[in-house]
Amino acid sequence: MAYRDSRAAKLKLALFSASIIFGVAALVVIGSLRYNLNDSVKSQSKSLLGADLQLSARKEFSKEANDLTAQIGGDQAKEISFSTMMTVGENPQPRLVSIRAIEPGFPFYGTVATTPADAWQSVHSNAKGGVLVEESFLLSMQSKIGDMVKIGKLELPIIGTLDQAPPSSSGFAGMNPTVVTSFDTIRGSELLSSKSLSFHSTYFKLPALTADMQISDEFQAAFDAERLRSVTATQRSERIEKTINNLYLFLNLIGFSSLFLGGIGIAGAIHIHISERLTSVATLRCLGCTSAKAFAIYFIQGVFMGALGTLLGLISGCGLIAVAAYFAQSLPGVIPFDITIEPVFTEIVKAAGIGFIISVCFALLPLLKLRKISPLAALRNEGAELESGQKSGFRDPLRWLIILTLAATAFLLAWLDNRELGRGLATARGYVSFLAVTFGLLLSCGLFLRWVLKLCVRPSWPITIRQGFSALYRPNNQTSIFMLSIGLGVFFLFTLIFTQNVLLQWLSPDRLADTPNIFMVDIPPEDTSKARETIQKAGSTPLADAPIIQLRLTSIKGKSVDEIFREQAEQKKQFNNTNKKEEGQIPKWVLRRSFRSTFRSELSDTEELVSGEWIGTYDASTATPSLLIPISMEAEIAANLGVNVGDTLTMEIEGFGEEINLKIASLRKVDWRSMNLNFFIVLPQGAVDDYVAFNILTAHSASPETRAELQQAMFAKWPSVSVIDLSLILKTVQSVLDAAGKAIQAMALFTIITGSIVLISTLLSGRKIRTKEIVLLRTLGASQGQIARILAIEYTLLASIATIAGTGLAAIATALLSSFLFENEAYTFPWSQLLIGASSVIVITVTLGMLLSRGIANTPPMHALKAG
Amino acid sequence: MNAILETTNLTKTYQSGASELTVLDAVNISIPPGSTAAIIGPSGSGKTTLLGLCAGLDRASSGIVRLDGMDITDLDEGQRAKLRRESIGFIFQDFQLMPNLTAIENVVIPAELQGKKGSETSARAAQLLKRVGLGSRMKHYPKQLSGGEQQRVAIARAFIHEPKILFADEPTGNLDEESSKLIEEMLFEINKELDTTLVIVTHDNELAKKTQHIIQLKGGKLISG
Repeated sequence: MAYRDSRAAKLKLALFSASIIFGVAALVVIGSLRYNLNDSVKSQSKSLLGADLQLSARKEFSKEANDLTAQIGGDQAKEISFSTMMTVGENPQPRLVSIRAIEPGFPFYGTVATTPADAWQSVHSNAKGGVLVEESFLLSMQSKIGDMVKIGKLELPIIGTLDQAPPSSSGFAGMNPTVVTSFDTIRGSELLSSKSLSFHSTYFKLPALTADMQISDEFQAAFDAERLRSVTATQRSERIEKTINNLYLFLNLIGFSSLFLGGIGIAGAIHIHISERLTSVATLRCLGCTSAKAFAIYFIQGVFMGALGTLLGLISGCGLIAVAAYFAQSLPGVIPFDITIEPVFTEIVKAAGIGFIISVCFALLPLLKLRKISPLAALRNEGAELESGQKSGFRDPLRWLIILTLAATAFLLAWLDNRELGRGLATARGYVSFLAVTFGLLLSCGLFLRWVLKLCVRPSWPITIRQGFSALYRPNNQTSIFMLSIGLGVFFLFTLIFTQNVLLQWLSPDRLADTPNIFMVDIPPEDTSKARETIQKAGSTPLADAPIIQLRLTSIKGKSVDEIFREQAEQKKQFNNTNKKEEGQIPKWVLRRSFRSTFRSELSDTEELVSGEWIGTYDASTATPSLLIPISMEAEIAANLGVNVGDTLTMEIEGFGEEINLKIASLRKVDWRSMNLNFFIVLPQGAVDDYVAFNILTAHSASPETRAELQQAMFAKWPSVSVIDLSLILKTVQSVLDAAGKAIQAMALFTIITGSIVLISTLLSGRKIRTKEIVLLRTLGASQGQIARILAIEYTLLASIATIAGTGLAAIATALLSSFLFENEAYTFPWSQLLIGASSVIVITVTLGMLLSRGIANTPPMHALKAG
Repeated sequence: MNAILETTNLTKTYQSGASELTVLDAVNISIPPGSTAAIIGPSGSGKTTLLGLCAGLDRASSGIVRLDGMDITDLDEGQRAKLRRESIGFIFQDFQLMPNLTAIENVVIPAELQGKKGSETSARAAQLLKRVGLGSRMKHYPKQLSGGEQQRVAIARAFIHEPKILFADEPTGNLDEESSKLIEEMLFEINKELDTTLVIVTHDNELAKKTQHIIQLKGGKLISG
C-alpha cells in the first residue's frame, strides 16, 4: 500500500529525500578527511619532527644543558635559527628571512628534497659554505642558483632550492622565506654574536626501542631546570591531531547543521504530502483501516525517503572524497606530508546511521498527526482537520520522544567524535545550543517580519500586492521552512564573507596609516639616535623606541622557579592518577619564557592602570641592596603567574648573569591589538638602564618605495638589524586567511546546496495550493500579468524576509566581532557586500520560484470546474 | 431577440492514445439575455465541458461560441481573461473561496481584478454580503463559515462586478437541502434584480425546472434545448 500510494508522487518524494544528501555527504567527507589526516600524522609522526625528540631554548645551551643532551645520548644534530636581513645577487634590496643553520644528519626521519638533488649534502660539504632557498623567493628576487647572498658580513653562494624543507616545529615558519645553511657556517661567523633573538635546538634520534615519551618524562625536571622546551615526535603528532580535531569539530558543525536543515526540509515536505493525502487516509479509515496501519503506510514512505537520501549522500560523499584525492595528487606539496585520501568505513557507517536517524525522526514529526485523523475527515474539510491535529501536537509524548531522540543523536555524534564523555557532552551541548539559537532566531525574525508586514498591508493596495502578502499566511504556507532553508544558508555564507571582510580590513596595511608599520630589532643601544636620523633621511618617520632588557624568572613570591616546576610536576602526576583537571598551575611557557621588558617613566597610550600605583622612576644611586625595584605588570600575565600588587619576583637579567629583586607596584591592561610597542613588564627609569640588550625602534613608512629605501639604508649601516615590514606580514596573514576562508566557504556550500534543495522541494510541495489559487483567479478573469505579479510579490516577500533574517544575524555577528577588533576605531561595515549579496539571494530565489511556477500560470482555468 | 449566448456546432474532442474521444458533439444552443437556463444530463454527458467552453475557460475543437454578440472562439488567453473579468460571473460546486482572505475580501476580487477599488467597491461588497445574509460575518475567513455560508459569499462575489452572464456549476451540489433551497432562492432573486443571464449546470431536475430553458445533453450530444 505504501508503494502504491507513493507511485503518483515518486519523483516528488525522491526530491524530498535529496534534502539530506549533502548533509550526509558532508559528514562522510569531513569524517573521512579527519581520519585520513590523523592516520597520516600518526604514521609519519617522526618525519614531522624529523627526530624522536627536540630540545630548544631562546639562548645558547648552557654547560648543564649540554651535559644533559650528552646524558640522553643517541644521534644528535643542532640547529640555530633566527630572522635577519639578507641581500641576493646584485639586488641591493634586503629581505627579512628566517635562517636555519642545521648540522648534517638532520632530519633523522623523512627527507629534505632539493634541486639539484645533492644540494642538501653540498651545503655541508662545500668548503665555502652555501645556502638553500625557496624557489619562490629566488624568483621574487630575480636571482638564480650560483648567485651570492649577503647575511651581515657573511657572503655565501646559493647552492640550490628547497622542494621540501627540513621539518620544523615552529608555528611561524612561513612568515618569512626560509634560508637553510650549515650549522658550522653560522657558528663560525660573527653573525650570531650580534643576534639577540635566536633559537637553539638539539634534535635526537634515540636508540631503537626507546620510547620518546619515556625519555621526555624521565628528564622533564632537568629540562625545566634548564628552561628547555621539549617536544617529542608523539607530542608533535598529538598537537597536529588536536588542531585537526578542532578544525573538524567546527567544520562538522556546519555539516551537522546542513543535515539538520535537510531533516527540517523532509519534515516540511512530508507535512504537505500527507496534507494532500488526508482525504485518502480518512477514506481508508472509513474502509476499516486502523490508524496504526494508515500511519505505517506513510512511515514506510518516510523510511524509504530517509534510506534513499542517506544512500545517495554516502555515494556523493565518497565521490567528493575521490575528487579531493585527485586534487591532493595533482597538487603535491600542499600538505606537508604524504596522505592517502580515501573514504573511511567507520565514518561511512556513522554518517549513514546519523543521516538515517535524523531523516526518519524528522519524517515522524508530521506523521504523528496521522494517528489522529478521524474517518469523518473524509466527509469534512481536510485543512481544518490537520490543523486541529497540530494544536494538540505539543501535548503528544511521542513528539517529545522524537525530539529527545534528535537531541540524543546530536550528543551521540559529538561523543563518537570525541570518545570522551565530558568533552563529547560539551561539544554536543555546543552543537545543540548553536542549532537551537540559530534556528530559533531565524524563526523569530521571520515571525516578527511577517507581523510587521501584516501591519503594513493596506486595503487600498492593489489586489496583486495584497494577494502576494496574504500568501505568507495561507494554510500550509511553509513560510518557516523558507526562513530556515534560505536564512540558514545566507547566515553561514554572509557571516563568513563579512567576517573575512572585517578581518582583512583589520589586517589591511592602510589601517596602519598613522601607526608603526616598520619594526627594527637589534639596534645597538648606542646607535639609537643615529638610527632615527637614518630613518628620517630615508624618507620615513621614526616613532617610538624602547630599550629591551631580557629578563627570566628565577623566583616568585620567594619560591624558586625550579621548586615550582618540581611541585607542578608532582601535582600533575597526582592529577593524572585521579583524572582531575590541572587547576591553578602556572603555564610552563610563562615560567620558561624570556620576558623582553623595557623601562620608562610614563604609561603609554595603549595601557591603562587597573590597580596599584605607577612608579616611573627609580634612583639606583640611593637604593640599598634590599630595596625592591617597583615594576608594572600586565594584568593577564600576572593572573597566569598568580601574583598581584605587592608580590615579589626575582629575575635574571639575561646576558649579564645578574639577578634583580622586583616588587609588583601596579597592574596594567594592555591593548595588544595596537601596533605599538607593548610589554608584559615595565620597569621604572633608572633601575636597569645599564643592562640594555638591544633597542627596538618603530617607524612609519608611507609607501613600498620608502620602505625599500629604509631597509637598504639600515642594512648598509647595521646589517644585523632586522627590519620587519609589517605590511608584508599582514599580506602573508591575509593570504592564509583567504585560504582558510575558502575552505570554510566550501563547507558552507553543503548547507547552501541543502538549503537550495529544501527550497526547491518546498516550492514544489506548495505548488498544488498555489495552482488552486491561481486557477481560481484566472477563472475570475485575472490576466497572466496579474498572476505573474502575485507570484513575484509572494516570492520576493518570502526571499526578502528570509534573507533579511539571515543577513541580519550575520550582520549582528560581524558587528560584535568588529566592535571587539576595532573598538573605537572607525571601520567600514561591508554594506555594499551586504546589499549585493542580499539582492543576489532574493533575485536567485524569485527567479527559481518563478521558474518552478511556470506551469502554474498556464494551468487552464477549466481545472477550477474539474477540481470540484 | 439576439441571444447573449449562442453556440454553433460546438465540438470538443480529446486525444486518447490512438483514438479520439468526442465529449461534445456539434452542440447548438441559444440563450436570450436576462433569461435563466439549466444544462442537465447524466455524468459524462459533457455538461461541464459545455459550460467551460461557453465561459471561455477552454477552447473548442471546432464550432463557434458567441457571447454577447462576440465570437470568442479565437480569442487568446488574455482576451478571454478580460472577457471573464468584465462580463462573466462564476459559482462553483465547491465554493472556491480564497482561504487566506476574509469574506468581504473574497467578494471584491473580481472588481479589483478590473482595477476597481476604494470605498465604492467595498460598500457594494458589503451591500451584497448583507443581501445574502452575511452582513455580520464580513471579516470571517472561509474556514470559519459553513458550506452554505461559503456558497453565499461565492454568490456575492459572482455579482460584485454585475456580469452579463453568470455560470453556476452545481451550485447546490455540496449543500444540504435547507441550504440548497436558500442558495437557489438567492441566486434567482439577485439574478432577477440585476437582470443577469443565469446558466446553471445541475443534476437536480427540480432546480432545472425553475429555469426558463433546459438544455439536455447525453453522450456529448444535445437531446433537447
